[in-house]
Amino acid sequence: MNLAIGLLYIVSSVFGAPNLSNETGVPTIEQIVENVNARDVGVQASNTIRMTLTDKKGKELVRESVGFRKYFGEEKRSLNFCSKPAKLRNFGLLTFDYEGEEKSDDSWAYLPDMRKVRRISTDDRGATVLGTDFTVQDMKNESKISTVDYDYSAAGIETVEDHVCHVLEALPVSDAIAKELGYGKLHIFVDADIWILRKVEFWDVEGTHLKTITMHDVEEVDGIWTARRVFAKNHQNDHSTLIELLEIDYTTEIDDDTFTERALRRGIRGK
Amino acid sequence: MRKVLGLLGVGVLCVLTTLSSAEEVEENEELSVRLFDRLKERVFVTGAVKFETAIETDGDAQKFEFIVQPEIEINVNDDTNIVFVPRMRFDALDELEPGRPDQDEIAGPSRRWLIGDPLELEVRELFVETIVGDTYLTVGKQTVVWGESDGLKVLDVVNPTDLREFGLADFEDSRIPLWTVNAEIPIKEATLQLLWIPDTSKHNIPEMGSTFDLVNIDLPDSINLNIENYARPRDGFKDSDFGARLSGFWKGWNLSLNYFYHYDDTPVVYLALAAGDDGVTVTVSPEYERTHLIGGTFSKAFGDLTLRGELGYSTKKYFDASILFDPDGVHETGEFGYVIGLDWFGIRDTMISFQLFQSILDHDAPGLGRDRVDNTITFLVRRSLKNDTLSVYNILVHNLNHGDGYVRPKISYQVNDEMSIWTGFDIFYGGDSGLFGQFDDKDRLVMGMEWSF
Repeated sequence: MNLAIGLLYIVSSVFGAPNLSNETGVPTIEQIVENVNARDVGVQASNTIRMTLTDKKGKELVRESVGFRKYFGEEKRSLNFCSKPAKLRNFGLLTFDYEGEEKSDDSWAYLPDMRKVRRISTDDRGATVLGTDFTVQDMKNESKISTVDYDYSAAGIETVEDHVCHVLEALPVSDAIAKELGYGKLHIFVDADIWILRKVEFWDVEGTHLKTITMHDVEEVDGIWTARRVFAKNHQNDHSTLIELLEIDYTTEIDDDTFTERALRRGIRGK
Repeated sequence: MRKVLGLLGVGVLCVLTTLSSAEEVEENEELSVRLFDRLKERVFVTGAVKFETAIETDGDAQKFEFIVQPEIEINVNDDTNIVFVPRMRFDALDELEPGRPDQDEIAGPSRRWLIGDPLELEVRELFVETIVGDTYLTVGKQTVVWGESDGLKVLDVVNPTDLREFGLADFEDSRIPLWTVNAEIPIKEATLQLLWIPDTSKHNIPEMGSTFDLVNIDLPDSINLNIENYARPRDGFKDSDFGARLSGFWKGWNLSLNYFYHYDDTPVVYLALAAGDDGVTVTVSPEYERTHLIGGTFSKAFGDLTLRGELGYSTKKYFDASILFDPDGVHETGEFGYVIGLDWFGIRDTMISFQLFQSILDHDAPGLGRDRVDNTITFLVRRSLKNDTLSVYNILVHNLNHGDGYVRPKISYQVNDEMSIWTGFDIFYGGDSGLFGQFDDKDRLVMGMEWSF
């Protein structure tokens, strides 16, 4: 079922560029977090994504998906279908993400082998997604910064690929949260100019360096800063995942009826 | 796929180049390139080539099977698609259905073409799906799945089952698609599905002498046995099945109401005794009877736990009974059935699933061939390893009344994007009188590989 949970959060990593620097020019931690989270990600987005998974022996697995995402007020709905490999074609996931609400997300998977739509749980935020090096929460964040899971402190200024970045150290607010997310510490590198995340370093709950996620080919699409490639490297098992955004469209209207069980059941043909 | 489209392109080119002038040939070449490009945009060919062998634990080989199943999708326009899924199956051993079965249970347009004993061709699916107004319409040979349970069927009875391998074949291979008109009509947040099924096919039941035959009558020599052919309803209009399902999402719950007016796909086995000069003759007459099925489904996630269930009431069901009490050997009663399932995701990369299925008859009868209340449980564990490339799986199906069942441990590995391999055991246990226990001597080792394209 991990495979099923997987595609749920394979949506484009989109990063906005709000201009919210403070009067002194030296933002506080709270302002950095606010600037990152205030980004415009567009009311809707349609995308095509390729994921390349590489293990320590160099063996590659490639998956491609077609996805749709739309905000209904605070609620985010997404529908994703796997298009490649052929074995997974039409495998689909529909999720209603109740941002800021106490209740859990509602999620459904369409399992083409069984011709069934199945209700699934996505509460395990630390579970890896579709065999990648991203967790459910990594994907769900869409590179925003959680304001409830971590306490932040400043860890200096560094340069990532010629971009000056504020570095935030994030520590889970409790051992339970650390265990749930699978992380004991994060270093988050926030671009000081356009407030996107350039890099995130992760340590596991034992304090061992776990993985690094980096964003590449960042460009403006329809006025929204967008990372065309996101790379994750697991330092413990030498596995890596490259997510490439092949197509992205923030402007074409997506019908509300797209985010229904009926559309999930119809599969990629209906798209 | 490129080769297929390439051939199509060459074919178009050949036709067009029969025209004479060089200019015309050049124009027609351009036209053929454009047509070829349009075909590439509109036609999608995927599919799978599968090999699987099964060897019984006493060493007898049970199957050595190749399946080629392409799936061709044609996007006519944004709202209309045509889907064609043919299947070729070759079983070198021919033990599961020896010879050429007469397919009495299957309606003519849905039958397989048997080419020799081991080879068969079948149109698995062929349908057009389109949008008419707000209605999603799917017309043609297709599969419709109802219900929330896995394997245990209360509402999932729209399509009959191929019992060639009892319940061991892949879910996809064990269903018999039917010629169906399927309309899905949005009603606010809900969907009303209406079904008209003129296809009168029923369960495919292996004939006597097959590996998993269900009709195995052992009578004393003094009693003669006369088995008549399946008296399957054959009028596509008068004998059609009709179904309706209203489904929706309400306060976090997925709910549906279902109604199905249909012929039960399991034959009712009527018996008749006759005494003659050559002794007593038992005549067995398998027939099909109509019933109304009314029910519903529900599902909801609670943290790491997903609750799902379905329930249904059939107004008329028919069960084997003692000929001493029921002269025709059949007892008629209503049946209430339900399945409650729990899926737990509390252990990372692991799913644990439990189901309880209970069938309750309206009333008992002396000599009835089953208990009034029949209970079956299933227990499934699946764990993914090595970044989801390795999967370990086991399922137990256990009937509490008879103490019989089966276990199916299996391990599968994704070699690359196209290729997967697997191996596992199918192990039956219990006494001969049980549905599962009767196959206690059919335990088998299974190995297979699949190439998807």
